[in-house]
Amino acid sequence: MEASAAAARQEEPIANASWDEAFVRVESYLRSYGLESRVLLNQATASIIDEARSRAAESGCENPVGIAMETTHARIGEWLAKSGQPVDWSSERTRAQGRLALVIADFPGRWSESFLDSGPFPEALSEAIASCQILPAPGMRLSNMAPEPLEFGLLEPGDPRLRSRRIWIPMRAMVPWLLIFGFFGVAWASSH
Amino acid sequence: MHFDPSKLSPAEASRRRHALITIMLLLAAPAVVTIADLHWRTGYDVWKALHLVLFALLFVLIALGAAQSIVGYWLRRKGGDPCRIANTLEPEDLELPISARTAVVMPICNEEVSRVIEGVRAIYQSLHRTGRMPECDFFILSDSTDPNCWVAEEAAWLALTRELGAQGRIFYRKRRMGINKKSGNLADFCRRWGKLYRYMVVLDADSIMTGAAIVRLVQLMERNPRVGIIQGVPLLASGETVLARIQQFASRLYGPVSAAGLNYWQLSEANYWGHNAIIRLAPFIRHCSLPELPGSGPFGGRILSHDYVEAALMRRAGWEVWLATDIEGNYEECPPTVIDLAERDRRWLQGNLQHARLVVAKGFNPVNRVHFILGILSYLASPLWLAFLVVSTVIAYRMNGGDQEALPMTGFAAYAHWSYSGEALSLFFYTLGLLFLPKVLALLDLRSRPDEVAAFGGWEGLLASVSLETVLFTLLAPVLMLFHTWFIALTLFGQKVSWGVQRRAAGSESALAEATLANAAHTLLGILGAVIVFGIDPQLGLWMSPILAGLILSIPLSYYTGSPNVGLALRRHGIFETPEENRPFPELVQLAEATEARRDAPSPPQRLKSNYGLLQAVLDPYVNAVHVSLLRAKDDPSPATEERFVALRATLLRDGPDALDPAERKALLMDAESMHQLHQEVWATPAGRLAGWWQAALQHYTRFAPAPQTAFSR
Repeated sequence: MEASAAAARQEEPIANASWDEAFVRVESYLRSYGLESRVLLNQATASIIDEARSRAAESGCENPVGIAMETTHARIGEWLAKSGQPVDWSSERTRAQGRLALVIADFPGRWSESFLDSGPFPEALSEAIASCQILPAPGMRLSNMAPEPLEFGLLEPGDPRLRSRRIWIPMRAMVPWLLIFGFFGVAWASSH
Repeated sequence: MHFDPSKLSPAEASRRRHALITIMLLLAAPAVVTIADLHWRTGYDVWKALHLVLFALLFVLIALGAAQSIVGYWLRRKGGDPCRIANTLEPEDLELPISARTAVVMPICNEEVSRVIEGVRAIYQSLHRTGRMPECDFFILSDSTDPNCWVAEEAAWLALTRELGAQGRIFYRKRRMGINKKSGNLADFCRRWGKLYRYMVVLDADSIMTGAAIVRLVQLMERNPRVGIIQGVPLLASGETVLARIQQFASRLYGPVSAAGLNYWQLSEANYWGHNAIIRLAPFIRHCSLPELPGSGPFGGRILSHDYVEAALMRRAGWEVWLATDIEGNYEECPPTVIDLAERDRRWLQGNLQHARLVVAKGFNPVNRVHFILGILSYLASPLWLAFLVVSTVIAYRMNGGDQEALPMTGFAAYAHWSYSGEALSLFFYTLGLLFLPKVLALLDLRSRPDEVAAFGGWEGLLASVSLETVLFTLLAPVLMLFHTWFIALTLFGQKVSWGVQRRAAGSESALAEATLANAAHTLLGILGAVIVFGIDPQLGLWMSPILAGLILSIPLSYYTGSPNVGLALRRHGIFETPEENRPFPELVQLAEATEARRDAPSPPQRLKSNYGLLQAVLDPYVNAVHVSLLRAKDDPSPATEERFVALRATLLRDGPDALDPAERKALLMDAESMHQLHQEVWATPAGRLAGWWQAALQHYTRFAPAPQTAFSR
């Protein structure tokens, strides 16, 4: 009973609306790479959706969006593999590094039309991907930057600084101030 | 005239300081003695004694400003102070190759990202054009806690380095924990990379320095190996609102005379203002790490206002700190509205009050203690002024009761033949004269610089601007007095200040609501004050009318002075014009153009705005890649940690970002594995299983037009 239900489910066509959603999702994702040409977007998306449909039919998958995006990531990995970099492009971590290389090389501005192209990988882009790296900071050379504690309080009577000449020189310079105070003091005293 | 700081004797420095204090006393003493005499004529009591003390304190501050301007004006009249750090360079120094490695650092925290990036671009390109410092590196040191800023900074930094071909020249570092705020941010830079560089040029997020200015600062440091810090005097620029344009006009007009006066007495013991300065890194790392203050509360714990203390620590270690008064191409922006100005003052005020502890810390030079005291008094003057006004009103009330009358022809009146009111009027006009003296001296200083007068837009506009600036600042002064007094009270009680509304663009409806909310109490106090004062004595009311008018009109004042439209309209009429507006440096033009272009950039949809950084970091393949590459990879997360992240990711997808608290969203943004997973999962999940917020976010990436609606549409 269960086996026949599963078989019936497999034969039941997934609603076109779900594949429409998958199409829009893939197209949006490809567009977010900077691919703006409607023709190229449409071709790449249609090709991915065709492949995803075949895979869905084979595997009995009922999530067109999921399988379409899986196919998209795989397709991007295959395309990046053509750059000649000896890494495993099927992993999301590696693909993220690939995306980083693309953006550093200004792929969206310079080569976006060759995105997922079946032709040869642009040589200049390949070189750019190989050479570019993100460098957020130079290599560190650590320093110890420890604070010196603060001590509070004014000079104590025995402090040697009190005996130095420098602290007493300003006292002599206060003479003009005393004259000012004296003048106004005398004026006040004589008139009040 | 060449100047060698090593030949500057301590006696010369002392002589200059004593001369300044003498002028200050000569200006202040007659006023203090006159008010003492006025009170004597009506008989002393506690109120009058208090009034006299408050008057003396406030008048000494006014006299100090006036004395500084007199000295500054006199120095500029005779061709400038010979003891300027800029005078240490010989002509051949200007041609010497610069081998010293220098880092230009810009600590930022939740700033407007495009402004930061465009500022760095303008400075980098300007320095590049000089061709003098190919080894100079730039660091954007982020402490941003807002994920929108953080993610935008990362992408904008990468785009900038790519556009300028500056990979390995412009760096970006985001701290996971913003320990000790700006000073901790800079200290972190010093600990990690300080040894790589001889100098550090510190900029604020709103600073602009030309390449020539940076080169000149480095040359000055190279020429003066005993100098630890050279602080440039940044001019205010790029303002559009009325308030910003008033501030930049005033700083441009009065600043040079005042700065000359400052340098006269500070010499090698100047202050550090926290930005637009160059620092010798080795002594800074060795001596300028900030200790914690003992105890807690507003005066203990972490030092909030670091710059003054760093200058004091540098001086304590024997290094010189100079103010470079005449380096061109050194700018910063200013707060655009009264509320922004008050907010900035609140931050500074808290830090400055804390310096009260440091005044009595052992080992600091006396001049640094004076810097601390002046910093404290610059804010403490507000409650002192308020207290002075209150005590004046009480005295008037008591005198109005009829029990106190002026004694006939006694005291100084015996010499000067002053009536009581004549003596009071003389004191009033003397005070006004002293307040306006710096303005008059600055205008006199301009007489010998016709070219600069033209750059200000000519005498007509200049005089009209000074008049309007005087009126507006007179009205705004009591508003700021109440703000400062309130902030001090809150600080002392350990409270934080909040406006209750989100900051909005100046000139908008919400700006009016904000101005109303922030100034409602001031208006009520103004009305209450007017009723009391006019009730006691209408004549006293007239004397106090500028203060009362400022308070009563504080809402429209705050709103209109924060309006860019009014600010730009005044500019069209030649009011508050500055040389930087009329003959701007290319760097300022470049920044202005970038600001203009920024206005036309589409902003994110309102619904997505609050979590736009998260949206981009998850959905955008490039932003996601940049963000993940800048995260520190975790070696081996525990199963419990992994489980927690799985649950957070599931909630985020199912219920949207608002279902998580900010700390949870930040935790996800900091976890590289989660960001990898989310990038795949959101794109691969059917809309029906995603939160409405994610559906809107994906729609934002799709952006197809809806089908046209006709009669046949279903």
